Amino acid sequence: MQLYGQPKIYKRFKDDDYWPLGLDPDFAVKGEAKLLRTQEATASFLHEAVKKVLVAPTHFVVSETDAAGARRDFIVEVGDREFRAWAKHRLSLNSDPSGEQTPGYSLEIISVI
Amino acid sequence: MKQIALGLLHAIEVLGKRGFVHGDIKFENAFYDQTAKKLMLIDTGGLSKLSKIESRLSDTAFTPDRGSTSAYRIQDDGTSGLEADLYSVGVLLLELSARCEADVSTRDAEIDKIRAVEDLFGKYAKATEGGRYDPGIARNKVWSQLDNHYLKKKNTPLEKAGLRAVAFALDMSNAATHANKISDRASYLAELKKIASIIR
Repeated sequence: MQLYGQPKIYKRFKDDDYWPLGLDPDFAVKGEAKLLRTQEATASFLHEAVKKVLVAPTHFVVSETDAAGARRDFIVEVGDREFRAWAKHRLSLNSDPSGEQTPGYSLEIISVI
Repeated sequence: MKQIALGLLHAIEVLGKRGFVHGDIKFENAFYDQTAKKLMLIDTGGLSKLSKIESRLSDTAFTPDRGSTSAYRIQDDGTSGLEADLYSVGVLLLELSARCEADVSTRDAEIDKIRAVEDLFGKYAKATEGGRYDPGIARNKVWSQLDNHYLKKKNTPLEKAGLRAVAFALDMSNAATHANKISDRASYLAELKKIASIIR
């Protein structure tokens, strides 16, 4: 596929798997929203030095479903904290002050680029 | 081939220093740029942060959720950390060695040799006793099979390095407690350098 004129590899997960995103359950204790590190989201936590030996995704394709069931897909740059900042923002907007996610809301990585 | 082997060791060293475990090292996930003489790993699907593995180890053994390929996997039901990557690299080095020696004009012989190495590790690394994995038994079986069928015939630097990598990984997985494995990160990195020096 092409993204911003650049050739890219689009990778869907085996068996059309997806990786839910969420806030750290210690949210209320720490007083600051923190993205929970799950296996696929680990690529957004990589140090630059690691990228010299590991080809990491440049973008995640993320599907957001709101409480009413409406779904939107986003292509988000993994970058240096960009993805985490974006995901934390979306999750915080859809959580109560204790960090509890709004019922029915979900944010999931569905593929990588 | 030496450049590929050293590139692999360098890659897992960089990952290990930053506390990451690749979790799915195999031929298909290693790309070598001949012009730049640089090896890159791909596929972050099995990637884990060591601190996360450590926290999981505190109450239960951790097996990668997915991605890891059986022939390269240290075991199915036990701990997986830095030693898992080293083990995978050990299997890869032995495969590289088999490919180095194979006569390109006799494709069947080459494939047979690679299959033999893969079978060896796929089969014996998962050795069981009474239905339960035992790293000590697995290690002994791997060694005896290597000694009987492989090492007596050839002993190239790549083979030595591969064997040392596999043996070290199996030793680490055989450690008595999880804490032992985690505190061994420094020796893991030191061992990588020793293995690389054999190849050089």
